[in-house]
Amino acid sequence: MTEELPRLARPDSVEELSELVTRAHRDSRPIGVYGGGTALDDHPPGRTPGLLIDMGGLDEVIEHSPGDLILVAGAGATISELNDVAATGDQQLLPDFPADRTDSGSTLGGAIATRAVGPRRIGRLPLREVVLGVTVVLADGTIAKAGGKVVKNVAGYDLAKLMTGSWGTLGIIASAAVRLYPKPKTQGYVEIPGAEAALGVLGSQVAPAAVDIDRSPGTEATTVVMVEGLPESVESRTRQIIEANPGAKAGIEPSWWARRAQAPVTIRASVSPALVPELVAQIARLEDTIGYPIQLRGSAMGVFDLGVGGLDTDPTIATRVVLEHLRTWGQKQLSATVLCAPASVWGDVDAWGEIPGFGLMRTIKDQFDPDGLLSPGRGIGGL
Amino acid sequence: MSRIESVLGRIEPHLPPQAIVTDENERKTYECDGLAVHRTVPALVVRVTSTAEVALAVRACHEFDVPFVARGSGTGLSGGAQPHAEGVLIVMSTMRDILDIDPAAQRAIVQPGVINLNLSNEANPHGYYFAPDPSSQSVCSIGGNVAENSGGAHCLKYGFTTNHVTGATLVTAQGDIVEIGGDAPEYPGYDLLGVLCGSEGTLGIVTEVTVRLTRLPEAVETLLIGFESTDAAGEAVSDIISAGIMPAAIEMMDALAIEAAEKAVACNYPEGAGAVLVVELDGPAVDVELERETVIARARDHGAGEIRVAVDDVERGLIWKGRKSAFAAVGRISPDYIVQDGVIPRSRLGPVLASISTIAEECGVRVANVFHAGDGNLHPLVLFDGSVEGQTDLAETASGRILDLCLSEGGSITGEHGVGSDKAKFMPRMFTNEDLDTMQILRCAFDPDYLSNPGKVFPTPRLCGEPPRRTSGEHPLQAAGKAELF
Repeated sequence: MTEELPRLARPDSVEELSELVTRAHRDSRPIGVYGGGTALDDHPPGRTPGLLIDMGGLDEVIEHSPGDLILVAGAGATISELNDVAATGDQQLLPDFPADRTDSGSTLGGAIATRAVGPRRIGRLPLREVVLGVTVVLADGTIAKAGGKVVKNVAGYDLAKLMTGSWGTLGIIASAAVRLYPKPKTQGYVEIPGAEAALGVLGSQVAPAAVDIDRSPGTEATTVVMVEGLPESVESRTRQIIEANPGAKAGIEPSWWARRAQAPVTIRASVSPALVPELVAQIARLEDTIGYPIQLRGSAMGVFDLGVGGLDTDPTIATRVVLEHLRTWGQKQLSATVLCAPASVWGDVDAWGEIPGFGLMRTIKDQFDPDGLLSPGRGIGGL
Repeated sequence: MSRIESVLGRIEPHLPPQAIVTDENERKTYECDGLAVHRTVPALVVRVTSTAEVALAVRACHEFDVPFVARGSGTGLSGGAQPHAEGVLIVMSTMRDILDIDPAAQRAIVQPGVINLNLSNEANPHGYYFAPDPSSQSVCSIGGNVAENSGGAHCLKYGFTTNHVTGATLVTAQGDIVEIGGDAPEYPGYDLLGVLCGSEGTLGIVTEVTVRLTRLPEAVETLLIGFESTDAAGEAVSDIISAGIMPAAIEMMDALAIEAAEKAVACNYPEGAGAVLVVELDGPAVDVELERETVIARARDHGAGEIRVAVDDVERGLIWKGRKSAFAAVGRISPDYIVQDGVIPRSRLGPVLASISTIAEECGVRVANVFHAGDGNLHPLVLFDGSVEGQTDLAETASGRILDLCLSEGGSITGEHGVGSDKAKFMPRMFTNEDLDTMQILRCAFDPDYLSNPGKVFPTPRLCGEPPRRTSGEHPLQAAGKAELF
């Protein structure tokens, strides 16, 4: 090949993608992968790529079989396009996705690589469980597939799960097969003041699709429960939740639903569900103590995004204090990491804390990408 | 001194006498798992009671380059726990304590030898259960469920074991103890739990598991529906799914499987039916009632005969007894049988069943069909008489052709039983060399010396260490005769 390898490329097939990666590998050029560009502000920016690959050309719907509840598509297809395709069979993608990213053109490959998730993580299976198979291009250009396109399959290692949430650091997802779900006929929302009721709803038998808690700086938290299904069922379950929780009232989808709060820094905090009410209380106290606003929003399953700092102040110190305080408080039952921050903050705080199994992750990265060319620095802990 | 004697010398001073089995007759009792056709007597058996003891045994194996195999209850159907003749069998069934049940956190911490059903029984009074429910749940261990990523009738709705594990303690193939995940639902970084589940003991040994408990549903309805044929039953399943219903389980049995179950457990299935469906609905009472009416209507559209709705737990138990005992039951109608475990896209059920009966006819064997109809996981039971010359070969041919059929439909060679030693040879039919090589890159990260359950899952081991392009000369594994180059 005499033609010089470009800095930016948009392959139209997995073979073209493989060819590009092979050449970049030969030239030892770091590779960046661009899907919908909706998670560029998340995780550290990483090293400037010598080859940036725009996945938009790999947007084909390869197979859609409503009867088998599956959809296979190129990594560059957008989540909203795929939901439109699924809707033709009165179905939708089984996992829930963040609405703000979906609205901005988040792609299938990007959603998988960043392990995107929306509020309905209770009623739906998580993304990692419904990516049935992937085709990936490895650091040296090898095309490999794992899993399949049937909903049940235990043949070989589940590399689809390894790729889910790998931030492009182990391989480039070229296509994926995902499970579909019958589109619920209707949804209902109940608003409950405070965060204390969340655990009760989670442990009740009303089978909520989502239980989300939202708390704006300086205010009381609100719990919003979503149920979905047939109209009679949604009505009956909504009523049950209202009757069981003083102050609860029927509501509509809140404006913040499935959207991340705008703040200079976002911390992702994950805790055992039993600790959720206490986490909310900790955040309120912490806000009072340090004087920086903290927005809390997330699922009562125990995954929250904390928006730290006002728009006109340097959030570095506040970020450091929040991380240290949470880690000391939650110990092993909590993980708190920086999800999104300005470049200046990444270097100045312990963004990841102690990551269980990090040594194994490092070894996996070295095995899959010995020259460190795939999205270098975009993964956790500098992977 | 042999390598096994070296291992023994290293561990013996630290373990109670009953933990170590050297007697040949006693070792022989561990020669196989649920797949009895593959038998190997392990060189040494160690019954462990703690993470530290597992680490001790594995470290000794690593030091003296001795392979090891972990074994739970030994109920696996693919030979995943088949011992290694020159290796150590580490028996985990002696680690069977439920360490903690925390209903508020919806979590339990268990040792790997805990029996699946025992955990649900302990969690039930708190209003919770452990959702993965393989048919062997009254005897199989949770460690085995993790190794095999076990499913069961209810995984269509609730997901496989992997969806119910949030943390684990892993003893790596070098004998290091690593904590992965924990109580929280999400931890940063690569999904180590996701790859450990279903790795069939080839990435190390899990010695403690944190599992997610699932809330018991408000209502459960179990329906038994008789059909004239498997075709009619299969179409009813399609209609139920496309009506937007996600049942907790939909199971199908054909006439031969019904006959066997009837003989074995007198489950009183509809007489003369060509197929039965067991449909279970669960969730809020109002949903279950609405869904039941839809299921009945769709079944009638396809000529359903008798429709029986279990009125109580006793009747529900009887309906499930017929289904869950089906494998063992075919022993009543045939001296020998092979349990197959293929997967097809569910919508291809009709044509695939027709092809299976053609294969059976051509091979001169009978095939009984039991399957998870909701997710296309087939368990054809190939019946034969091993005492008749040539029948075993014919049965194996039929069994292999059924797998090829599943693959030609875009399916899988195993939905839940695993690859083990039984199906490693079929892996190249489903995956390319590049695919298999890529999977083994992962193995190299966990077990570079190829000691953790070697010979399973992959037909040919990959050489670890230097990436292939830098390899020069013969790899130590190759020199030792333990591995071949691709």
